[in-house]
Amino acid sequence: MQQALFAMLRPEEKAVLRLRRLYEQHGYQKYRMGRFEEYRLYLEHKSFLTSENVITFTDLDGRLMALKPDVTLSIVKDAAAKGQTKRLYYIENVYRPGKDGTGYREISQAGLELVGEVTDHTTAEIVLLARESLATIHDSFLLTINHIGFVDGFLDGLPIGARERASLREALSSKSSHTACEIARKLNLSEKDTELLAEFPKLYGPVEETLAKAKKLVQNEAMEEAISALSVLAETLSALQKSDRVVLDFTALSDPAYYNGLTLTGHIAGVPYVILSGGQYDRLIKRFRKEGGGMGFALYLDELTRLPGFAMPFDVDVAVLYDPSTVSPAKLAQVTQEITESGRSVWAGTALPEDLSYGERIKLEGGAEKC
Amino acid sequence: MLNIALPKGRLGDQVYEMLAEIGYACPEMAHAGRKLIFESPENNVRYMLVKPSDVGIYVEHGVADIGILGKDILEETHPNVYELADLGLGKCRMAVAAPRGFVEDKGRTLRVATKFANIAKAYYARQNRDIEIIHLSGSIEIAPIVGLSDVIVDIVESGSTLRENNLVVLTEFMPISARLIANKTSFLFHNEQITAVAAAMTDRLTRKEEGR
Repeated sequence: MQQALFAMLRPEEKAVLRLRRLYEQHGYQKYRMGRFEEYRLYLEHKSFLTSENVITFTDLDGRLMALKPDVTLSIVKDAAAKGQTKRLYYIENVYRPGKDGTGYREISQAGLELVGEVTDHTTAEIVLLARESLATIHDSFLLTINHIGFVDGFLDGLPIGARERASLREALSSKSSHTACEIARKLNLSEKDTELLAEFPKLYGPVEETLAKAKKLVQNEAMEEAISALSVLAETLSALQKSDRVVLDFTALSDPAYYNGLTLTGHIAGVPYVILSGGQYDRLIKRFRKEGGGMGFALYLDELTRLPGFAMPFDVDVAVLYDPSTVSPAKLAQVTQEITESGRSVWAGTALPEDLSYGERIKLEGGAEKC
Repeated sequence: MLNIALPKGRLGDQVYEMLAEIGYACPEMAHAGRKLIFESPENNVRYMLVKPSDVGIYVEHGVADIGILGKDILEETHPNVYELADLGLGKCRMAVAAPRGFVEDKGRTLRVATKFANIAKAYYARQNRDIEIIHLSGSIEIAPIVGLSDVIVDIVESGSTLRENNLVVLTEFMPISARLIANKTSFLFHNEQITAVAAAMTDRLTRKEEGR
């Protein structure tokens, strides 16, 4: 019975249940979120939002409220106030402008957050859970890891302004060695720095192999620290034989205003956009309490509907057309019951609606069944 | 199978030649006619011929793994893709042009006619110059002649269209050439193949330049 129930669920609903099981098995508690939050929270921390556009309304008591555009801020606000390390997961809808810019969208998101002490141990825990989350959803996945301290540490050491830094970051993020070189030459950077900038987009591939290449390019303490943190993680992944399907990409550069350490992005073959993103975000935590950090990731469940296997093939498995003058209610109920008991869905009626799709059609006439 | 979005026209033809030379020939392409999709199962490649300004859309949405488009369109539309190589083809410049003898009145908003609104906005924003964009789809050169705008921002190749319309280039600010772009997910899952295509195309370009 339970298996039949599970089989009836849509692929994204099955994915959500598997994720819940995964997170609860690892001691993460479900975070229950209200739909609304005071707008002030987003105004004060707008640099931590993916978009400053938020749907607002005035509540009955005159407070300006918002439909939640983000879950992490609410979790951090609540968890940080309690002062201990909290492990929480969520499966919620948020409200943000859509990718196509045509209006707001209700976006289905799952994710987890660890707020408190972020150590090598907890970092490995979250990276492994991110990897498992992707594996839970689809066989063909890749998790990309990076430590933004490597490239950002190098850029910190260059004699350039904020605008030039942003241009270089953009060129590196788009794996455009030629553009990075062009900018470096315009800025009169040294030949050595220009060569290093051209190398960074090529620092990509299996974790240990890429780490070995990157070690040779270290120029300062920040880069050294990034390598050291990644080495500890690489060791854990290797010990657990989880290095496969994980790639290290030093120019997967997330927003430095939000993330400060290890970052994660997940892809599934057949989905052209990022399906998982996250990382360490101590800066946000510091805004709410003095000590500790935070790390987590979000999964964009709506993107799963792009996968061919995630589309339901039919509205119903079986459409039963019956003649009410010759088929008794008992006979019809018996036929539909047999179909549902076999784990398939059924629609029964006297005329097929134009927009109903079905896998099989059965015509009931005078007690006889015709396919 | 590698899916490639090619821009229709001369640039697309030139790029196809390069790709055919490095092992991605598709004999069907020789008899193109009105067909827009071509496949070569033996070379494991499928080509889509699309409007140049749409190449980025096909690649960003992942229906094409890689594509070729001009830097002008890349900068104007900013698709979320990787820009893997400068192919050095279709070289031209983005420029500001105005009628001969034009003197800019810096005390008032400059009216700029262009197809490239985002590029023009970014260029003048860097100079803190207040502008009004007049977005046109073609025949940009007419705009300042008939008083629709003060200047134009457009692509200049040989400069003959400007000269024929009595316009002169005031500034050239962006060199343009064809770029090889890749979808970010495709780059991950077909990394070896896409990296090899980028390397072979860059290598071919370098050898050609050295031969000159």
